[in-house]
Amino acid sequence: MKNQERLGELLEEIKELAGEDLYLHGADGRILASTKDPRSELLRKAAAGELSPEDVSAGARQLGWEAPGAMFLLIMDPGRLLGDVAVEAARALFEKDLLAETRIDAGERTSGSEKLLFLIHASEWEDPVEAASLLQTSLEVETVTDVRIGTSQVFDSFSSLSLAFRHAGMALKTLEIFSQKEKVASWRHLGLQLAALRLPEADVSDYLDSVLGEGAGQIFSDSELMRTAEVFLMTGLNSAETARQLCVHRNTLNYRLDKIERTTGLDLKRFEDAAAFRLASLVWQRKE
Amino acid sequence: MASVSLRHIEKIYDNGFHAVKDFNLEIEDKEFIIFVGPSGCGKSTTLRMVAGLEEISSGDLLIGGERMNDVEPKNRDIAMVFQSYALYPHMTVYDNMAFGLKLRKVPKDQIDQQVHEAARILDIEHLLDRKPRALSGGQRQRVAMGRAIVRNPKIFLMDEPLSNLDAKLRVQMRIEISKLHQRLGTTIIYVTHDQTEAMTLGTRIVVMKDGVVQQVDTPQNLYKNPTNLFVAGFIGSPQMNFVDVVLKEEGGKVYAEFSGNKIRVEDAEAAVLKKKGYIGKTVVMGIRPEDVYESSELPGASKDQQLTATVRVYELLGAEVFLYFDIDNVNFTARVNPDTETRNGSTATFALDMKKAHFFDKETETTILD
Repeated sequence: MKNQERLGELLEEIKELAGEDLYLHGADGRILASTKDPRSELLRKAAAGELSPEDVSAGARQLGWEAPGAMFLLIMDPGRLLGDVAVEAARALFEKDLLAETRIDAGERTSGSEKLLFLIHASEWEDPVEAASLLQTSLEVETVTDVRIGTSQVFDSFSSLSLAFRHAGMALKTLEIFSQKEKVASWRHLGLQLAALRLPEADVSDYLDSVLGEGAGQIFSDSELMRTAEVFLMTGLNSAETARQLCVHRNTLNYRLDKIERTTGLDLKRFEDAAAFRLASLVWQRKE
Repeated sequence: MASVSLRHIEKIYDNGFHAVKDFNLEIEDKEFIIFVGPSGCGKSTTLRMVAGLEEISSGDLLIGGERMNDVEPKNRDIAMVFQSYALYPHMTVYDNMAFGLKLRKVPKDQIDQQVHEAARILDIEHLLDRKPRALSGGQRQRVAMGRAIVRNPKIFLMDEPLSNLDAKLRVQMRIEISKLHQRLGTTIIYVTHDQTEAMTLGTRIVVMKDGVVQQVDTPQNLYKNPTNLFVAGFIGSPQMNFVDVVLKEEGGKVYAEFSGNKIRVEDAEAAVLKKKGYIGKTVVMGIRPEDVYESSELPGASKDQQLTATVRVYELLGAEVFLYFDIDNVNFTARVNPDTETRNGSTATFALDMKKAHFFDKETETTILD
């Protein structure tokens, strides 16, 4: 261990002279020391699509990095927050469960520019959303900064890293497009949002016309009706709870739901119509 | 000085949703102000604009007289407490409270002093070595507040901080927060959907609906003098009874008529209703459950302030009884003496204390007796 630390220090000194990152390989190809954390570098390359799944596995083997079992990936849009602060918070939160972290310029693969990637061992975090929510809330409380986080599903092989990145990135993208309030989204829970996102661009208008007719614009620009529909869907189509949350009389709620039905032909009290309305509203948001 | 001024604040999201409309409020230094309203009314959005977590679409936000619209959130000298405790599970209470200061590179001895001071205020010094999993819900919430207190902010912003706690603990923590406000002497802006929390904690309450401020007032005034139907219904539990009545004048007296009942309006209120031209019109009459008596309980109650109905539900709460009854599909609640002998199915005569009645314009829903 001491030798490795010494090698690291020497490499840092040489890096100063050479002006670029250096790797010291052993005769068997394993990396003995580097000026960059090789695990983070592997994570970055996997995310950037520079390596095939097989190459990622081989790269991990080369580093002597064994998959710890279940893992998941978080991708964070740090907003105005300094990346270093987010990384420090993630280290404090996840400690030894933080397997690697890196920064990427996500470019077109997600919608913003620099993103932070955290690869987490799922040992104590059964649900990636729980881990992501804790990190997001901690940063909001400690730094008064808005960050958004997309999470991948749980996976157990390094060869799945690229796929996990794509899924977490997609979750983050749905937050940017569909949600003003939510700060964490999980690939596993995307559901209708994923369907709305994947509808071919050319079909968007046709879809809205066929589901809602000419009533779409009228309904979606009426904030009172949209809020009513949103709460009604959120409460599992529960009229009493919706009326309570909106502080309106049941008759007022029924009037508004009837108005939506008259305009769109969709009866939100029926599950299938409610699902169709939700999908159409997401497609509308995407279009807008 | 930590006064806060919100002047013509608007929030319009990219998708056109108008979340907050022309919000105006002057919050004085050391005030405990509550934003209350139903889900989606814009209260949290307004709080987040004060914090800097949401951009202000238009209007001015001033803290201590200084315009803050373009000041970074971290430089606004505020601290937030949410319903989620967001404690680091691997860290001790001490480290959890110290973490934010470490991120800000505050010197170690200063961190130590601030953490101990906050722990003393919150009475959690004996918990400093424990990890969050060894704490009760109430203790965790105190630690979450400790994380805010250590920063010694000018203003605390609290967004439904007690929502995760059970009913009993919520009552305890409400008292704790009230004491904390007195001890710290700091301005607090507190968001809740719970009107009981609002009434018990706030020095003033801002009632919001659909992004619009409905009324800003002390808890007592909100309860006694609601400016509109929404506030009247939202504040008070069980809520105020409402019934559509037609106002008629007979022999110089004004009566509120509904479903065959004829209730005499008190002279002072009648004069206002007459002056404003409401005779012959339908208005909404409101009366709180505690102002609906069993007739024997209201000394001097005359026939023309009584109505008779069959009790649908008798509900004993210990110190009081609620009697629920309907008149022509209009629901009424009476809060009566617990010794009442009235039960489900009884026919009872109720007397309305018409000095406490409210009248609202049917169309504008605003109070007529202002």
